[in-house]
Formats: sequence, structure tokens, C-alpha cells
Amino acid sequence: MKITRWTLALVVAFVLFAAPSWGRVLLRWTQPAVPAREVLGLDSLVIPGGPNEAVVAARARQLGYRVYLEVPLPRGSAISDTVAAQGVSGIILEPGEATQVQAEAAAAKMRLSHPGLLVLVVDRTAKEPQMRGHSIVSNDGVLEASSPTEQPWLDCNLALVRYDAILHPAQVPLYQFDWELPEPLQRREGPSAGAYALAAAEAGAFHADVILNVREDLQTRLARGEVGALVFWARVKPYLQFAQSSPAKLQPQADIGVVADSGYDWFEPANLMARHNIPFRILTPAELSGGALHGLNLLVTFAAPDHDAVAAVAKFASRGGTAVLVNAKGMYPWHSARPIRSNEAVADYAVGKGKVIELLKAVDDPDTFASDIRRLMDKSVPLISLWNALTTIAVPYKKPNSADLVVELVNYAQDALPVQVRVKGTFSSIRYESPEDGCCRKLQARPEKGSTEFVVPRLATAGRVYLSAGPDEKHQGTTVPSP
Amino acid sequence: MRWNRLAVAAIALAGLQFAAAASPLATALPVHQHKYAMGTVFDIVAYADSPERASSAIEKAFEEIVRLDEVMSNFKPGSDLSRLNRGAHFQVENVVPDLYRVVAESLPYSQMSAGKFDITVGPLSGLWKAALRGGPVPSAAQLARLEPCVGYTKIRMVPPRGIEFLSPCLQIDLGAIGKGYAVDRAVEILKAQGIRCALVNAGGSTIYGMGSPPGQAGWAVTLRDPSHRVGARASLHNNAISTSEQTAASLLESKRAGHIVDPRTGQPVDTTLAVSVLAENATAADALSTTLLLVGPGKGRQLVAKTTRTAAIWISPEGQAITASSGPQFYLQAARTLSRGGSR
Repeated sequence: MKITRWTLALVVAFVLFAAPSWGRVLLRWTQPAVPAREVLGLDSLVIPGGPNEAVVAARARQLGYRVYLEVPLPRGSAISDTVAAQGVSGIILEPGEATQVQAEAAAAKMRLSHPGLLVLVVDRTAKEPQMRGHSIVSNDGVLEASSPTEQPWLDCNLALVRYDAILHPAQVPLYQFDWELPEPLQRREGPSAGAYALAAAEAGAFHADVILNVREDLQTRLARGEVGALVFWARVKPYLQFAQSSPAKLQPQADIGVVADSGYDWFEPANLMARHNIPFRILTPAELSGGALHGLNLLVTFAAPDHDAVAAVAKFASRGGTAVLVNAKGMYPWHSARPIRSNEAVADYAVGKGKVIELLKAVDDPDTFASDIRRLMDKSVPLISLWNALTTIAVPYKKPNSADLVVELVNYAQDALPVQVRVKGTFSSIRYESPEDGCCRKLQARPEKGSTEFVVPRLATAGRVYLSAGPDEKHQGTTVPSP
Repeated sequence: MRWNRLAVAAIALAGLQFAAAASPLATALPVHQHKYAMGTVFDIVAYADSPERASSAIEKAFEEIVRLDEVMSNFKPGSDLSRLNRGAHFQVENVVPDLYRVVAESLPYSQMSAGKFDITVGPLSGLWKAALRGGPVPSAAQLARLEPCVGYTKIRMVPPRGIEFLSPCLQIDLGAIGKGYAVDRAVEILKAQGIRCALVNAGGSTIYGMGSPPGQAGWAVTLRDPSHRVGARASLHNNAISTSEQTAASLLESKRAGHIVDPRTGQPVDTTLAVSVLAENATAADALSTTLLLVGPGKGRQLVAKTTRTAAIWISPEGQAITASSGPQFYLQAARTLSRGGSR
């Protein structure tokens, strides 16, 4: 009896202190046959509700998978009683027509009434991550080319992930998207292995969780062990494993705050800021008057500031920060001084050691706005800058209680290219890990005006850079093959 | 007699339909692939008798584009252009045929525009690009110092492969013509692979339409329209279109900057117009779109009149469209169009 209690305590401790109890890439499985975990290269499946739900869930559990049931929001409260009995690891609420806020409220209620049940909310407004071409198929089947910009257009989910982290504080951001297959040949053949790999790489780089839809015929062929399907999936597996191998408990770094309100005027500018590699964090208007501005150099607020928020903005600027008020319409205390510059579109005011820039209208050109923010950011020492990286998103993370950084990289072009990176701070040890070459290759560090520069020699789809101010680590300078 | 005519017409129509149906392309699915190169996304859409054949041809065309990037890049220290920029001040440099050809093809546009189009503008545009990235606006003194470094007449072509710079600080930048050249070479590769129907698109700014998609008269292209009101389109059939536009003005800062610089003033061209040019090949369309943005619609219409099979359209953010043509036409859905000289 005593041994049993100790065993139980050990199991509980293991569960509590283990790295996240679920994978960062989950596959949505709809077919009755389920392959072994080794075939898929991951251990979490999402089973949608339906007639086969119990059978498929039981089979997946037998094979050692963590099983999550996908439940539409209206069914959520009804199903939760039976779910725990089925031995599933949790349920994933699919909001349907409800908003993320409504879904979170329902999830919170379910967590209270079923404390042992993991309840997650999925955001289905995500996009398939991709570098878009410029040719499109219009509705009548005619191929067209349009010319909005020469710059590569990336569909990236970083802004959504940052917002979901605010909306769903009890969970890692979890999203799902529908594959975009606009052309007949794509519809016939389904997403490529590269598309699955990029989706996994993106979720891994953003430290978010993604549910991937797998074509039904591919599910069946993988379960049957067909060689063609296994070869296809073998090209995806290194990226699934890489995405899930990021060190735990890292904090995303940002020196720019974006104050978002319940409207979505902020979303596209923030989306473009992400694509310009501007590290930002989302703040709610209520956070403005707290300590959330600590460590920020630049504040962009899309929410109309109330009295307390105006005071917080003035204080932030007076200490040397730059605050940008978008669609500013009110009277503010800094209006007592003459603006440094004023025209029909923008007014700048010096406030203490910093300034407030009022953009007098909504942002109608998010890309130009993001370029402006990048320029403002570059006037100080930016947290991160990239060159030769029009298709690359880099996200810096910090280890708690340490100056060490980890930079996650994802290249939407999926063609190996050298990327020059500069990060704020001084680092003597820089190591690079990738799904293709394993961990780790030593990179040359070059100090540069309070920052450290290095070149990632070959970024294909995903990469991870470890920066340390301390001495070299054990594996530094060696190349260890991928597992 | 009447019956006979109808019968002949019906038989002829049936024959045409049969011919169309019998064409292996009539039922073919387009293969569409894209690749990042030259700082932009190249799209190729191709029809062939099998998707595998189209895909293989596209791969070869992409290989050619990547090869040309290694020739024409001024960002890659090891490119042929970078080597030319390092060495041609001292002696005649023999270069690869593609580099010689693209430099030679650029010079007539410089002559035609009295130096407004100029592949030696790189040192000036470099300063303004730095300003766009947050650096200071170049001073008059800085610009004056670069004056001796700029001028297409300081390039000496020494056939068959030699190039010499007649200024110690001259640098060539092929940004205004290189993508068009790459598109044309990709089209040649596709043709050599037996493809007769394809679209080659360099980042939406320079596009060539080879043949036409099954059942269509040409490849439909929606043009850049800063007003979102003009609704201008073109149909490509063995010709190309290219669009140029100055960098959008900053929303938060008052300084003026831009990536398209007038080599004669040293200043970024001050225009909010977008100009699209139809021409027989992508190299010409690419070079002409920059040229016509720099010279503006006034002189631009005169230049278009001197060319063959060329058309241009300037569209303002206010929705005004100005066109000129020596042959092809644009399709405008709704526009206040000002046109002269045989244009629509």
C-alpha cells in the first residue's frame, strides 16, 4: 500500500513537472484506422465528434496517443461528463460562430465544473502559412496576375498567436486552418509535404500549438503502411520533431507594445509588423496603467485611451519612449505644447525625453505603417534585425533568470538561404540547430554597437539559434546528425 | 443553298470544337509553382500534355532564374556583376554573355530617356534606400560627391564580352531591368522544353504571357491601381507587362525618400502614379516602366509613340488614368481616362 502511494505521488509529480503535457503539432484524425505513433512521428491526435468518435479514440489510446476530442461549443458542456470516463486527455472547443472571447468564457466554466479535464479553445481563424505567389485563379477559373507589391507576401500567424495568448491565458495558443488549394491540380494532389513541414515549423517557431488537417486518403494510406504515403510523411516528420523540441519555459521577447481593443483595426498592422520582424507584444487597454510597459521602447496604441491610459502614455513618453496613437481624436495633456510637426495626417509632440506621434486617421496602408514602425525602432538599438530575410520570420525568446536568448527562425520560401541576424546584447557563444543538420553548429559572433551579429549559413524551413553570454557548451562546434 | 451555308458553318464550328477538344491542352490542368529569387517571388504557370512535363519544365526555368541571380545580383559578393563592379574601373572586364547582353540591352533606354533610365544610379539609390531604412536623408554635399559616379555614358562596351567603367566609382545596379531579363530567359527555357502556354511572373511587377490558357484569348492581368477605382486589366498573348511605382510615402515621418531615383537630380522621383507598360518582351517592359515613371506621362507618351507594340498606362491615387499606345490596349472597367496619340 505504501509503495502504491509513493508510486502514485511520483506519477503525479512527473505529470506536473514534465514539459507541456501535449504536443505542439496535433493531427486531426477522421479515419477509423490509426497508424502507430512511430509512423506519424508525434503523439497527439484530435478526434472530431461523430459516429466513430469512441472507436477511433479507443484505438488511438491503445496505440499510446494522447487523444483530444474536438467538440463544437454548443455541445461542450454536455459532453464533458462523459469525456473523462473515456480516458481522453482533453477536449478542444471549436467555437463555430462564437467569438474567441465567448469560447474562452465557456471553457473557463467547464474547467471550473470539471477540474480534472483539460479544456482548450482552438482558433480557427488562422491562415495556412505560406509564401504566396502572385498569380491567382479567379472565380471563373481564369488565371490572373495582380501586382500589389514586389515584396514576397507571407501568410503568417504570429499576430494571431500573440493575441490568442492574451485571450486564452490558461493554455498555449492553439490554432487550426484550412489548406488553401485554389487550383485543380492542388485539389487533386492535396497539400505538399513542404506545406505540412512549414505549418509545423511555424507553430514551433511561435511556440504555439497547431492542429493539422490530414487528407482522408493520406490517413488511410498511412494506416495501411503504403510505401508512397510513408515516404511522403517521412519528409514531414523531421519538422514535427523539430517543432516539438524547443526548450521549455522560454519567454517571447519584445520591445514594442501594441495596445489592441476589441475591434480589429489593429490586426492587419500588427500582422505586417510581424512580417517586418518587429518583436511586439499585445497589451489590453487595462494593462497600460500597470507595469506592462516596462522594457518597451515603443508603444503603438489602436485603442482610444481613457484618462488613466493617457497618463500612462505621457509617463512612458516622458521617460524616453515613443508612443504612436493611431486614429487619435481626443484632446491630450501634451497638446498644451506646440507640436514639433503637424499636418492633416500626423502630429508629433515632444513629451519629456520622448515623444508622442498622433496619426490622425486609421491605418490604410499597413505595410507602410509597419515600415514606419521599423524605422522608428531602428533609431535605438533594436531587439533583432535581419538582412536577406524577406521570407523569414525570427522570434527571440529569453530563458528565465538568464541573459541567454533563443531565436526561432522560419523561412516561408523553404529554399535554403543565408540569413544575417543582429540581436541586441553581447553573446560569445552562438549555436545553430536545424531539422536538416541537427544540433548544433557553432556560428561566428561579431560584436556590433551593443549588439551581436551572426550569419545563419543555410536556413531552409526552420532553424533555432542559441545565444549565450557564457562559455562554450559541450556540443559547440560539432555537428550532430539529426535523430 | 441556305442549308448548305448553314451546314458548312456548322461543320466548320464542329471542326473547330473538335480541334479544341482534341488538343491535349484543352483538358490539361495548369501546373503552378513559385520560387523565391532576386528578392521576390517568381510564379510560373504552365500547361502541358502532362503535369509532370509542365513541372519538369518549370523546374528548369527556375534553375535558369537562380543562375541569373548569381550573375546579376549586386547583393552577392561572388556574383558576376559584383566582380564587374570591383574590377571594371581598372581594366576591360570580360563578362559572361548574359551580363554583357543585359547591360547592352539597357543602354538604348538610357539614350531614349536622355539619361533618366540609368543602370549606374546604384550609388544614389543606395543612399536613398538607407534613408528608407531609417537613416538620414542624404545631404546635397553627399549627392554632389556621387555625381561623377553616375552616368551611363561612362560605361564602355567592348564587344564581344568586355565592359569597362570610365569612372573610378561607377557601379552598375540591374534592379530596373534584371527581373525582366530573367523572365525572358525563363520563357526561352520553357519554349525549349516544348511548353507553348505559360505565364512567367516576377513578383507581380513583370509578367510574360506565352500563348493563352485553354479557352481564353490571353492571360488576364489585373494592373496595379493605387485608386482601386480604375479596374485596369490587360490580356497577355506572347507579350509582357511591367509595373513601376515609387515607394509609398511614410505615414509617420515627413522626410521624402524612395527607391526610384532620378539620376540627373539625385532625388527620388516625386510621383504617386503607378505606371504599367505592355511590350513585346519582359526586358523591354521592365526597363520602359521605370523609364516612363521617371519621365512622366507628358514625355512618356512621346516615347511610347516611337516604339512598336507598346502601350502604357499611368494611374493616379485619385483614379485618373492616362494611356498611350502604339498597338496593344488595356481594358478599363470604369475610369476617367485621358488619352492622346492613338490610345484608348
